[in-house]
Amino acid sequence: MIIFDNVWFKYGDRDYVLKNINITIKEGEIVCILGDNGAGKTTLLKHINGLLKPSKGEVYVDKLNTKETSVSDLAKKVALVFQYPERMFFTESVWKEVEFALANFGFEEDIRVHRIRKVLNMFWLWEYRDRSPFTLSGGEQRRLAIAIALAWDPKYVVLDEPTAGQDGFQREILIDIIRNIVYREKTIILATHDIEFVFELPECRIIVLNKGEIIYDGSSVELFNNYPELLIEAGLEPPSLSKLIQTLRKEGKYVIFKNYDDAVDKIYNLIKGG
Amino acid sequence: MSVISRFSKVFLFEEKDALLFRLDPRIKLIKSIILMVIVFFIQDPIKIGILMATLLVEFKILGKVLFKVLRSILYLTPILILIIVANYLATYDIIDTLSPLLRFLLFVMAVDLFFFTTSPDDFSLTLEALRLPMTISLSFSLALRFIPTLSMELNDIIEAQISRGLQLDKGNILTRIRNYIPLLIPLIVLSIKRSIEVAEALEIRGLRPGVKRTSYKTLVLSGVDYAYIIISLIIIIAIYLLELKHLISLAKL
Repeated sequence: MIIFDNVWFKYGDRDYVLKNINITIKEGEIVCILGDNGAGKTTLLKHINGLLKPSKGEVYVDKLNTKETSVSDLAKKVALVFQYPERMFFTESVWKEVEFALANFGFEEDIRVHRIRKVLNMFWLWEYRDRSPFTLSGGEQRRLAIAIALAWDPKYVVLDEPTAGQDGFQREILIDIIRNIVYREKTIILATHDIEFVFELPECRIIVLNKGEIIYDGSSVELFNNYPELLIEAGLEPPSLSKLIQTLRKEGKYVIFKNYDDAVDKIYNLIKGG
Repeated sequence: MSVISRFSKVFLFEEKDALLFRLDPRIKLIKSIILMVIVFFIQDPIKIGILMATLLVEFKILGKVLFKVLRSILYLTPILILIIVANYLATYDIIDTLSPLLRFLLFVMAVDLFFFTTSPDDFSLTLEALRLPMTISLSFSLALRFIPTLSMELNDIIEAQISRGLQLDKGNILTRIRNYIPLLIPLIVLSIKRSIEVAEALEIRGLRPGVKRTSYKTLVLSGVDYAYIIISLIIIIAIYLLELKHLISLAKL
């Protein structure tokens, strides 16, 4: 369980970037943090593995206070994948890149081999194991970064802007990967401003950040059905299907949808009906 | 980690609303060079001390950069200690030890005078005014321009590697040096990629060596610039010509 208890944060003596953040994240949840540039998403994520410590308030990861725990101890529980993870590669092969983290965390040789084999297969990277990570395509590099993070079997996986610079096909793969990670009983926290991506992940809990404050915390169905104006307030554009449904409602056709496919179905039926 | 970011902060240019920032960079460069040269002609530690005091006052009042200058000197502590120890062992004389130390500090302050108060834009204009070949002046100003970017990127890389378990301050000296490889390689790769991108961007915008370029901003000397350099020269020459014996006898009268 991750608990943000009254967290305030500022860089140096500038204004507060995070204001009065209270979140409790339970195991097995997918949490999407939405907000436009500068809303404080990355700052919030960096608090989870202790890279940043709150100026006021506390953050607890499994009852460990991040102020009293080192980043390397927290990193074992919380894998943080950065916005441009491909920028951290430095070894000559994909295999060694995965092994580096495992060696840092002190895993034995046979466990390492087993784990590397497992994650590389899981992310369709096995055939690239001897290639330099620099020669992989953007999407493959992003997959490798997530594979590296999963290799040491962390309880929480934190993804910062996973869709940044990814094409449509890679985004589909990412959705699969995220569902796959949750299926393995892990908790996922991801920050993004890619609304359409979140719209395709209806099972996630959404937290909307606006200028460092939480303005919405709840289910995605509720947000897209009833509060699309909150997204606009946070500087984001509601998904196109959600906008279409809002327009239909103004015309007197009241539609409630559960997820992406449901919305498509209902709109299709409306058109067919009339 | 914090040491690296604090260290790179010294080299970050911060624009301040102060006279030194508004002066023509060529004037500041001339004063800087005069100071660097005069360091080799003044031996008396008292004279150097007086000259340093005038510079410190200048940094404080005209430039608002005194704190930054002192911090840049603080980072040189190891070299300062080396100068003191080496000179003292060679001469066994306090005055002879003090003189090279103060002269070194004055030299550093002369460099700071130009670099801490001149924006990267002004810097490249100065290089052009010196009639340096465009390739050299451009490389210089690009290098300066990218220090803040690189320092931010280095910070990102450090955070990413720490997040996958890298511990920088673990092990003996050899392991500690090896710990920096995961930071240096991505930084070098990024810099090379960036340099290719910059080259392409410059070419797209029509940059070709050998073609005459005009400037958007041209340097023009104003009355303040002349006043500043003349007053500075008078102070420096006065201190240089100052005979301390005369001063003492004057005081006795």
